[in-house]
Amino acid sequence: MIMADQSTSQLQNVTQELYKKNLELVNANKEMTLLQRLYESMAVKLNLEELTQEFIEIIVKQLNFPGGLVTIRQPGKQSLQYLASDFEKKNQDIHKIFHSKQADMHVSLHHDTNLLVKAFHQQKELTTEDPLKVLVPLLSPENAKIIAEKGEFTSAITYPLSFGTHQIAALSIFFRRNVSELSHFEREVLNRVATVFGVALDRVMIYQDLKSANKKLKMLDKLKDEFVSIASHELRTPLTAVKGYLWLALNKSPTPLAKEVETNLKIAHDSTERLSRMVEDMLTISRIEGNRLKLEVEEFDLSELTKQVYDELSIRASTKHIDFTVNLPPTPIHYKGDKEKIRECIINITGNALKFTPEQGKISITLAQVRESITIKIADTGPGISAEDKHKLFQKFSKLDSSYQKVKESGTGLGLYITKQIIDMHGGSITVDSQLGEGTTFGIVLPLKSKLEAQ
Amino acid sequence: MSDKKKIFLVEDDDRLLQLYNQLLVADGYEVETCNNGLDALTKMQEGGFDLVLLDIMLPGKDGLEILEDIQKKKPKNPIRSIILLTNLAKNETIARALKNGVDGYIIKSRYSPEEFLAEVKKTLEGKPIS
Repeated sequence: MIMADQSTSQLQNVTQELYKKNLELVNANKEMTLLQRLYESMAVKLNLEELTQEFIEIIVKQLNFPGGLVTIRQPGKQSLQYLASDFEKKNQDIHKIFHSKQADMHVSLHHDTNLLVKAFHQQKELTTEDPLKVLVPLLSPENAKIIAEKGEFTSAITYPLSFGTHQIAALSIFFRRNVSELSHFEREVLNRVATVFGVALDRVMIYQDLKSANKKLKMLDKLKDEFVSIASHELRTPLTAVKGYLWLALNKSPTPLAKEVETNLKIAHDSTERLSRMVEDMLTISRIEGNRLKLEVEEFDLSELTKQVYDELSIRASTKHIDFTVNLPPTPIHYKGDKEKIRECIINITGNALKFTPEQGKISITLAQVRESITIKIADTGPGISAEDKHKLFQKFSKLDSSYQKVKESGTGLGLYITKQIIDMHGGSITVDSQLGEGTTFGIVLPLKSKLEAQ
Repeated sequence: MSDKKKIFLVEDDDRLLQLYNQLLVADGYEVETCNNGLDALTKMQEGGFDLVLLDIMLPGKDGLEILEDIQKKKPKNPIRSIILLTNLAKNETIARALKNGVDGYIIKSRYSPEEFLAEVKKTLEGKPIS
């Protein structure tokens, strides 16, 4: 008998142990499911209200609690504002009260008897056997009483929701039993849920901040584009007039000009010329940025165009005593692209070479066609570009350091940026080969058969 | 009758109008000017110009509308050639106008006075009195 008793009690022990283990497994499974649902919701909800509502619903339903609510600290405000809640379906009256009052449901952060506020300040979980300590003054004492009675709430537990030092919100769960009757498992799960909740709120708030900042930036950027475009358009007409009248004064004066007057007028004319080039650059940039730069495609002889550019710039080269040469292939190169813009590109790069190459230096333009690609090489004996400076060349407003600062005549720093954009639009590329102190060779490489269609 | 070429200049910015007027007169042309679309249309319906320099952006009626109107109803006296004055680089509108009897276009902000006069001269020479 003793033996039998022993084995019975052993069996009982094993059964109990099994039962315990089984319960643990069930609980672990429950917790896994709950956390899994929360993570899923976190992944898809990017709106603060929606995420919070879904979280509180998942928590209340999965853990079979009678109800819960979340309050959040609004940025810049000294209060906790009601954000979301969930109560058992049968408690329709509670839903109604919360629904009708939610807009003005808040509690001041100075209200130090309210449990939400306390938990928020102390950053730890707090319990109470009086649910009104949570509900007042979110609701009037009368309404709070109705809710506590209808829901038969006898206790509540409150958690601060935070991430790192970011104190975000406070969560309360209501019960129909004493807090001391909550199982170890329930307390542990609620703790973990509060941590995940804090992370989720932090994440969604950062996302919303970024989104609104991004929206604002986009709007500012658009405004800037419009401003530049309008300003440049409005500047053009008076600039054209000033340039024209200065030219008239210089070239069509009925009486000979005094030497000083002529010099001064020339300076004024050249400065206006520079100013209007800058305005044109700004306009081009605003078109590029706004995706409004369009190519006017036509077929033309690239060889002839190169020769024209060479002729145009020869005068400047000879005043600087620069040995300026052009090498063209024996036959025309028929190319389909935006003639005016390609002209600008060649002028731009050659103009830079003229600007930076010292007197007595050498500059050559070489046009060549190798199989399916055309190369326009512009080689100079200027100061060269350092390796560090090379990658800055095609950036907006780029001005290089080193020897380039010695050149007085500065541009907008937009020329090469624009050139690169235009060549890119033609499906081509720009190469730079340079040795400090030796010189620089720029190459414009264009595909002979461009994908562009002539109009 | 003088053998001076007759040019009708339409431009709404008075400073530019005076500038182009002075440039053309200094180069020996006979110039009539106008600064709005409605008067320009009346004058062009009358016709009798070697060249019309026509601004696109005009108060009252823009340059392109004027072109359409005189295409529908030919001027009483011939207009030998038309050049558009524009602030914009060549675009579809201008490309279409060029196909529809316009002889050229001048981008005001880009053309120096020499280039402006050269374009006028080139257009007039390309259209000898028939």
